[in-house]
Amino acid sequence: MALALPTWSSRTKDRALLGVILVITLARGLLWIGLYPALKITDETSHFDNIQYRAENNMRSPLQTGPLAKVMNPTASTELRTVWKATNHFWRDSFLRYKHITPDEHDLEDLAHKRENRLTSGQNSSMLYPPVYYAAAVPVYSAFRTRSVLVRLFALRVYSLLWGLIFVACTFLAARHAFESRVLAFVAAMFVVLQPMAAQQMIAINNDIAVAALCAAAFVLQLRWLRVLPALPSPSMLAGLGCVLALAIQTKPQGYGLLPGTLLLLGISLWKGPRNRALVTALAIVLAAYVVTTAVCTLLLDRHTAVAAVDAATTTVLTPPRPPHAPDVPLVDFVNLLPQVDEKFLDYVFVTAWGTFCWLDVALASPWFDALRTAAPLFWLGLGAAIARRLLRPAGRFAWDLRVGAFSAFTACVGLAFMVAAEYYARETMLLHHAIQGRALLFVAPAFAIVGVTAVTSLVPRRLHSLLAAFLFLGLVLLALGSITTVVRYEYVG
Amino acid sequence: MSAEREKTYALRWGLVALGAIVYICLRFGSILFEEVVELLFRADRLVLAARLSQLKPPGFKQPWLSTYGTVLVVLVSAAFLVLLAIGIRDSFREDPPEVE
Repeated sequence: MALALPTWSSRTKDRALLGVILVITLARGLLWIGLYPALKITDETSHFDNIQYRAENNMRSPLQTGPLAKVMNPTASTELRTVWKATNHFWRDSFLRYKHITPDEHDLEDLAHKRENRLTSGQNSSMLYPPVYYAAAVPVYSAFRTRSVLVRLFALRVYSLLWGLIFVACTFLAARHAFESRVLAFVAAMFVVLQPMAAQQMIAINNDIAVAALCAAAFVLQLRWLRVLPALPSPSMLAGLGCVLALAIQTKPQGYGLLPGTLLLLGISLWKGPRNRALVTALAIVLAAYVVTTAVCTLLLDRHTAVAAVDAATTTVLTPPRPPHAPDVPLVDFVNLLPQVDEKFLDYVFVTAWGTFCWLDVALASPWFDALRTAAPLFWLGLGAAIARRLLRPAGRFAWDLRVGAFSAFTACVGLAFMVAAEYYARETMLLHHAIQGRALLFVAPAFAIVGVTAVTSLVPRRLHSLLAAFLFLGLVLLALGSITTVVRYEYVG
Repeated sequence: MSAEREKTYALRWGLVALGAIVYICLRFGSILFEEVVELLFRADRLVLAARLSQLKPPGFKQPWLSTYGTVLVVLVSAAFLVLLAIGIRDSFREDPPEVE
């Protein structure tokens, strides 16, 4: 049975609840931004370098031959290398005692005034990514161009937090499609706010959160389509879906992970709905929105000159950008990797999905993981209970929508398959094992949140749902506080 | 199985599942308590405040960090209490019939 469509009064309540969720997200985000020292989250150096090149040169950086530095581009701007040196120096006992300002801060302020200190070659691993996150970050960078690089670094973290707000809002809207109860939708949204790795990536200078936000927006539009099946949604919604999918793909390749869901919806419309001109028009709208958005992103946001900015005489420009010397690997061959998905790999994914912070150099203490592993059977048991109850009582009243639950499970499975495919690609092209961390699943976190809440609430009768939600929320809050103490102890106390 | 008996079973096993979630929360709470106590013993408050402020722009130095932390703690505490109150109220309500 599909859930009833929202009324005006319920919409007002939803908006108020969404407001509360966003205020909590904002407070949590600002605290996290301040707790992590500058550049101390994975790949922030590389992403900042990329934004800096774009902002200072008004174009993307051309790819030169030669290996790209994994951590810090040796030809990055003077101010970035200076702040990188300083942030690595100030660690635990190396901080100044009882002082809130260091002399380095004044030096960085001075460096920012001269353009040559802000110039970079832009040769970093992030330059291989599509442009949306970086291009949208340029105005934020430019607004603080002559302020200290520290100000720009933290402003860009706040910019990431804005993507995070979109991500959280979309998760709540998706959960409202899944659950009749606002309390359950609230807990699903709180999962993506407080889950330790989602919380970290939401404030990092990193395109992860941008692709997650765009995928969450696409997921909400897919759920709206799902609700009206086999009918077709409005043309504006279809255009929005095509546009958002293109933007997600133009942010990070994870965006492709939402295409199977869209194809599935199209397939169902084709199979169940009337095959008339409206269907062809719908298909054309999605495709046109996708193609136009992709073209705009490629032509406007991804342009570069044919000459490298630094050392042009000795370098060669490659276009379009792709990893140097990467062989062509058919991704469908990733099924070959499945027999190699062993306990070690799964454990790595689990640990990096739940709590490996900074530059992957500190993780939650083992008792946290032990407790999380203790909780895992509840999820599987609940999933079994949810399926069994649906099969035994197809006409029953349920707290969750069957279509939305099934579609969320499908999206989560596609996310997992995408991650395994990415791991396979890394093994085949770069000979890297465990290259893809669990946080790569962030783009399907709303689907996981819906499946998780559905599973756990299937274990209890409806009268206990709100009480269960209260304790799930408490567990998430405690886990979030645990991640704070872990990072603070690692970075500041030792 | 009669509907009444089924309800009793569902409630009983539901309470077991709820108990398991509460146990996980208590486990999280005890781990967190140990970590916070250890942190407080190892770090001087003023030194930690200074360290948290260095190499950051003014909006993310102390006392701003404490302000964000306080706002967050107040909000999540209030949210938890509201959820708990709703949960306790709902747990005394009769479930609607399973089949329409």
